[in-house]
Amino acid sequence: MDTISEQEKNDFREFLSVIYGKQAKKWNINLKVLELFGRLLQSSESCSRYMDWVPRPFIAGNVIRWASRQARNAIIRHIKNGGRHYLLCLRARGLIFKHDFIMASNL
Amino acid sequence: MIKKEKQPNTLFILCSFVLLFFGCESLGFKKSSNLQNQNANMVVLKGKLSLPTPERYQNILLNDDLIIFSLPEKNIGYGVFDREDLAFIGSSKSPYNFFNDAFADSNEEEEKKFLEGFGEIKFKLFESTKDFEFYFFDLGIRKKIYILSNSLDFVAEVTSEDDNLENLFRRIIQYSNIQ
Repeated sequence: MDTISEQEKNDFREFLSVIYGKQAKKWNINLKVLELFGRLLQSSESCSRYMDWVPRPFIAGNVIRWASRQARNAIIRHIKNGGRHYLLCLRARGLIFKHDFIMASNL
Repeated sequence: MIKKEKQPNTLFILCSFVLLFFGCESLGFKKSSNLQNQNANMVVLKGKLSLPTPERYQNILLNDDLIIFSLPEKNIGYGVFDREDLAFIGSSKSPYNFFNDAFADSNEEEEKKFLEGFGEIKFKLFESTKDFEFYFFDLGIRKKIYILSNSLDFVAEVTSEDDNLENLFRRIIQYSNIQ
């Protein structure tokens, strides 16, 4: 199984903080959190054309491969450049996963 | 992790001190003497909603936003959604109205997006009492319980991968009360 670097963990925290607020910057990033992150994006497939970034079928190993710096930066750029519809859609979908993320980060 | 107490008074005093220092509106744990079953433990969410704890939990982790019960099978989390959570996703509704409308297949965009995030709902239960509406969702791997009340400024959620969460749902219906 691939491991992720501290920089990549920080990148994930940054992305999660866009969806959940600054509390996400304190979350521990582990495999369970990454799996949830992938499920969140898959559940949000109607939110944006950027869903092509998520490989199918979704398995734990894939989340690390898809979550390349290139993919993450592209999505973050999309959000920062005024993709408000995408952002609010992600946040609405993300509400269901919020407490699951907190539980996963405490494993 | 906070271990299950062998000296209940010490843990209660410690939690009370922590809650007093950080504010009493946060999630809190206390033993209740208001139930027919005198051995049942309760948690109090935001000083207002009292819920029974899962049975046979081993440890408790108190987080800012979640109480996590550690069990042999799967962990169970008790959390809340307040008006701030909903404002963050673009809704100006109260938590009660948002969840109530969302579960009733609302046409509002934020509520539709929220409900679509559940994905395939394999099984659903609903019960109502004088003070509450209770929802149980089996989403396959994950199960969710929602506790709604027009008397509360938040909605409570219980979340777990435990296959026996429906048993907890029945206990929550029976023992939940507003402080």
